Amino acid sequence: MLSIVKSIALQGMDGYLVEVEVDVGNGIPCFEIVGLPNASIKEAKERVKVAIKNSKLPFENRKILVNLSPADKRKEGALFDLPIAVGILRAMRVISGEKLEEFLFIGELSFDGKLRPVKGVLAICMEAAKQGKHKIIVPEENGEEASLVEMMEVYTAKNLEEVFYFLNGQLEKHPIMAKEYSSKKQEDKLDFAEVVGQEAIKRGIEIAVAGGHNLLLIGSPGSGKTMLAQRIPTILPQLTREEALEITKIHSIAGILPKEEKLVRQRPFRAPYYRISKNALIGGGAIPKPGEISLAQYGVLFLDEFPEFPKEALETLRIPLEEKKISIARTSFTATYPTNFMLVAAMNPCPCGYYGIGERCHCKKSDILRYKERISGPLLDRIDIQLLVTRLQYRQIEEGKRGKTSQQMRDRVNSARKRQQERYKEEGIFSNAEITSELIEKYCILEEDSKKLLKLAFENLNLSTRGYHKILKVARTIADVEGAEKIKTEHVAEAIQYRSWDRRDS
Amino acid sequence: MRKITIADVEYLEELRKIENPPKQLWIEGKEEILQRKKIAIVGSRCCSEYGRKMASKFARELSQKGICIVSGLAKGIDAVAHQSAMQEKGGTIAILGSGMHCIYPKENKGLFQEIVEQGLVISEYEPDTEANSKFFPERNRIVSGMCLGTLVIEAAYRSGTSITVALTRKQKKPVFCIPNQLEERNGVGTNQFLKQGAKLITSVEDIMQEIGEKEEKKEEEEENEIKEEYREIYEMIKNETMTRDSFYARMPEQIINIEYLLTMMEIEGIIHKDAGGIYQIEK
Repeated sequence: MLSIVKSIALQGMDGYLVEVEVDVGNGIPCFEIVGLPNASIKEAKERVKVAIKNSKLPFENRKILVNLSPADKRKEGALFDLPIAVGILRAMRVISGEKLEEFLFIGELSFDGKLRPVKGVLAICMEAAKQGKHKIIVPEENGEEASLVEMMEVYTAKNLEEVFYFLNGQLEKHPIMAKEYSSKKQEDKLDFAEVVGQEAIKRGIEIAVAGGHNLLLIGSPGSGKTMLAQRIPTILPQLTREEALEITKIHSIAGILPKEEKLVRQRPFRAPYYRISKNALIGGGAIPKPGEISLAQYGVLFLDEFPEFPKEALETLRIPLEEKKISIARTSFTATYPTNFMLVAAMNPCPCGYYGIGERCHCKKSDILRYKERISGPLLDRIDIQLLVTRLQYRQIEEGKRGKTSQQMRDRVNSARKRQQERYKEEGIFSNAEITSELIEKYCILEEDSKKLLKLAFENLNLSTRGYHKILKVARTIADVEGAEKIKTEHVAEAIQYRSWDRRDS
Repeated sequence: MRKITIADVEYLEELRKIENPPKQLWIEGKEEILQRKKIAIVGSRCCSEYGRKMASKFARELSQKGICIVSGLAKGIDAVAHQSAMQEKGGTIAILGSGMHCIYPKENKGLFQEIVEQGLVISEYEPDTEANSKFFPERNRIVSGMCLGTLVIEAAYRSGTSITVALTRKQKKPVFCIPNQLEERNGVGTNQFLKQGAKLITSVEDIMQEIGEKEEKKEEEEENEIKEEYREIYEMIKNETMTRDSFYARMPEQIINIEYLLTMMEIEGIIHKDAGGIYQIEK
């Protein structure tokens, strides 16, 4: 007899409906799966067979053929174990077909019939809702995640046996309900107040966050670059429910959702090690999985030892930084993941790291230049603010009273962001970092004094011309942080301070 | 580019006096520089940060006093000396170890262009001559030959610099050395020269005295020129190690204003930020 069970397969952020067709017929006993399954699906045969047997359900040794339709798309993952098992049981007339029509099934089976959680459940349920299928059976551990999608009726099961009794009407089950989204900010474990004596750098970071500018931290080892970067998420604005869902969706596809909390409420802070491959950074695989740049969606991507990253990986960052998404093309389809993150890069001033600190550095000038040149111009163009992280002197530790807290900084960031949203609501952008050169002329108007200052600075401070627009943008943000309507000379002067790394060597 | 021969009137008098003077010279740039008093600054190609700093300091300060700095357009000390002297009154002259069209090392091509525009470049080789290791010692006789003395910033054991020093001595001109640590690789040469009788230099005044230039003190006046609004910051930078952070800690209520003043002072060339982010008074 033939049976059809529905499930969903993922391709990037989106999915498509898969019909699992099972035919159990006469002939030499065998078990075949067709429809471009990968190794993990092919192995489902063994899991399904043993799981059915160990669940004390009847299994006939006959000719079993399984087709995953549409047959021309590559599929992967163990989530088809459950639909295949249900399909076989139906085809063997062990379970009734009454409810089969209305349900979707996903889940991995273990040998004892238990249902194991799978990746990407949120994305699967979102796709299901889009397709107009509102009932789904998922492994128990995926229940909470699945229920985040409104309009979905989510049923969970511990094992195959439960699914069997439920479908046969011998077991009553209620759909689980979505929890209310609380917009209350979770307590951060970190706080900027712990950073003592580096108020100037904190100010620079505050400005970067307020205007959505990418940031480059330059400093010797031990100057506190990592400590500062780790605290940046604490001053980013509170996540909205939509943002939280999107992050959760990506993290779920990548399989990195924490067990306890199914909805990601913290802005991500991703800090990949510099030996990371290009694919792990931007995403990849036969069916592309999200890379670090997508996992950092709505959060911070921290690249420590920036020049040490493989050149190829760094250069591929250009487009995602510009377009806020990455498309990874495969012959049959293209997966697109969002990449709307704040880039925080950190590097030493020279290969040994101690350039500028007493006499400790013995790097040759040509080595320092080569080190700097590993960051290409076009990439540097996408980083608006460069901050020199100076080492603390002992005196400063004594002087430094408890500095500005994350709360204080976040308040200023929020009000600056509000001003920007108000200003750009007609333009379809949100922050100063996004404004194009045409918009700069419209919104970053300088007074005569400021123009004069900028001209002098370019003539005397060896600023590179690519810095010109960045100074204007950053000056606009400083004005916003200060609550000023117009850009004043002081704002331009401060913005110039944030371009120091760019200066041609004198 | 222009060629002058030993028979021409413009040919440098000083060079006629040395053993084996070059028969012809190709020169490009501002010729009036040739008439100035000249000091050679030479040293290691792989110099330390200390060497770089000192080369820059001495080249700049000598140049400010109207002394032209002569060097060999090599990497390291040479390049720093040219660069620092170029902007000031004395200017700079580069003597090549190759033809004018074959600049070596390649990375100094940009510097070569700048010197052609703001200083003077001299070569005794046909313009298309490639650099050759035997040319460099030859070229050194011109470097020392046209100068009143040679200042060695850093030199390792048996370096090319020692050839210039030997030539300077032969030409009966003073050799100046700055002190260096005994353990420093780049100090072995200079310390040896000092032992052999080179003059130990701790400031430009030492050199000026030696070559008979009297120095008028002007520093006091300069300080009075600092604008009133810069005074407070100027004093702090002068007396303490100040970074942006220390200003923030010291005067948190005036941050916006301080950023403005610091930028203005940098633009006006009163202060500069070093690689470690520490503000320095521009001398």
